[in-house]
Amino acid sequence: MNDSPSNLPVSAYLHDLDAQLVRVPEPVASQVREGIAEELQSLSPAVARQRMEQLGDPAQIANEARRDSAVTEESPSPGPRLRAYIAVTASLIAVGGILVPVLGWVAGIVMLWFSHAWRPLEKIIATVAPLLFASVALVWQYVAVTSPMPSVSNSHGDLGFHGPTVSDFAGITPLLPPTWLFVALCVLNVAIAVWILRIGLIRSSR
Amino acid sequence: MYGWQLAEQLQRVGLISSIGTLYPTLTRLRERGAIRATESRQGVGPVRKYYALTAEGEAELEHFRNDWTQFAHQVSVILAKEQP
Repeated sequence: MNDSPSNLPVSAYLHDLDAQLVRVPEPVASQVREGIAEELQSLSPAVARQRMEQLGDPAQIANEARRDSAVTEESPSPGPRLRAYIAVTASLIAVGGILVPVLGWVAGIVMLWFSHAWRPLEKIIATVAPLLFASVALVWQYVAVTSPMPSVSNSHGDLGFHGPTVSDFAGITPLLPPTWLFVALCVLNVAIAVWILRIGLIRSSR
Repeated sequence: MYGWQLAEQLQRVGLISSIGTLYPTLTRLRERGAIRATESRQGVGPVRKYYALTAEGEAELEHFRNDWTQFAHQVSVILAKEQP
């Protein structure tokens, strides 16, 4: 848009309209903006001012657009879209972390929290359970690996102290999750995904 | 017709109160496949989004026109009977 001084009132009007349209859902907000902008920008500044007076307060335009959009959104059944959302959320929680490590699972959890298909307690359980399980398992693993090994007498009658040797730690890195923990987490996430999928689908069919 | 023209016509006959009411309706009609929008420039004017009925929209309009005529006739008959 041309922001020359003669066009400043149009810019200011559109800026105000943009601010007011924030709460109007897409694509209606963009269409209102485009429709008004294409008209105002095609006029001379004097005629544009008359048009803006004719259009009225941007807040009023946005309010009416929002009110009618709410009717539009409620009219068609939200069922198929909501069920698709639920299925995608559950899929991301189940296998998202495998496909895109960590981030895939986080995306699923974000979708979970943004939806009204689940109650707060269900969201908390789905989010905290895997984290709690992983934390406890890692601490347990770390303690098990770093605690002193009991001394073992050998066949030669040597009863001296024998702490763990480097070979005792072969294949075990305390700061990285071991395979069993990874598998257990995957199983837990699949179980949670099935649970939230079931809850979500039951609620969406009501 | 483009958005502003539609809004002006509908406001003139009192069917909408402002341009803010027009676009939710256009969105609904587009989602139903009753209208299509195309961007074009006419003459030396700016590029605008023009709305037109699709074949489905034409059929829907024709259907509505018939229903409305019948409905208006029935209401007229009922109101005429109520007059003393």
